[in-house]
Amino acid sequence: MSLPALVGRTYRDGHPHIVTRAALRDFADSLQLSEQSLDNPRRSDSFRDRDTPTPPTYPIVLSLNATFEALKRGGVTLDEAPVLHREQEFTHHRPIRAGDALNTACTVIGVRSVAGYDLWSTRSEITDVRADPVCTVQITLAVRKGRST
Amino acid sequence: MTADDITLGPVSFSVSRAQLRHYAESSGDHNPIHLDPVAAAAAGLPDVVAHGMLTMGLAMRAITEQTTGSWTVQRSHARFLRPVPVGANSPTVLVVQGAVRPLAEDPATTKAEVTVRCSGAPVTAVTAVLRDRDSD
Repeated sequence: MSLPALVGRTYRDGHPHIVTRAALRDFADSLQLSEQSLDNPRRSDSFRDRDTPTPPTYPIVLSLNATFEALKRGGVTLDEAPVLHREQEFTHHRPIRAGDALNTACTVIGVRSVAGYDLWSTRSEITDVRADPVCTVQITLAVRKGRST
Repeated sequence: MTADDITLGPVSFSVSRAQLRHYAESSGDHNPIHLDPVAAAAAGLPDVVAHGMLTMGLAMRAITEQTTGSWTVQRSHARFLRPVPVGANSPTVLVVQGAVRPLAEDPATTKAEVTVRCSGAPVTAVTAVLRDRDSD
């Protein structure tokens, strides 16, 4: 299969990703979001929602993995090739909360070549158990050419 | 910049190798260019580099922590312009700076535009649209 034939293909997670309080807190901690800053009343509601902070970039946890799976299953070799993140966009439809069970459908939306790299773009639609939209995530990765076959 | 722009930052963050390992675990992104100097060198990088999403996460932190009121992030976008090398012995300093501006067509919505810099060079450009929940 030629690489452009991948465009338009969709990969779906086999089972829902359960968002745990511990995972949200660990993600926030890794962004140096201390208890003090989380309790700061001036902080955004996205960090204050209920009692567990949800950093607005958290949906990357679901969508980056879905992007790798979508590309790998389409025959793109990512394991040895240097992969660089080029561009990222989130559109939030509602906040993510601990206890959410989320499904991700990731569609390859484009590939183009630039200076020795293939730029792969995907769009992931993250939905909840009622199939209501939670977040739309667009990712562009640069994969060094010649190795993505 | 216009007269209505509110300056955001500069806010500084230091990023260490330990934080890269922590972010790799919390995000599930174990790309070796963020963890292994040999893999980074093989990819043509000067050293292990910070996850682009770590730089975006820190930029969003700077934006949300400096925005007063009950704001919710509607959209955010990042372009990763340059790799951010992180040495073994001393942390790398990132500086987030930009501006926040209410949208003329909808004052309950604010647009933030910030640049993350490393040693003066822009490494990540982030825009975010936030909406005041109290207005809904």
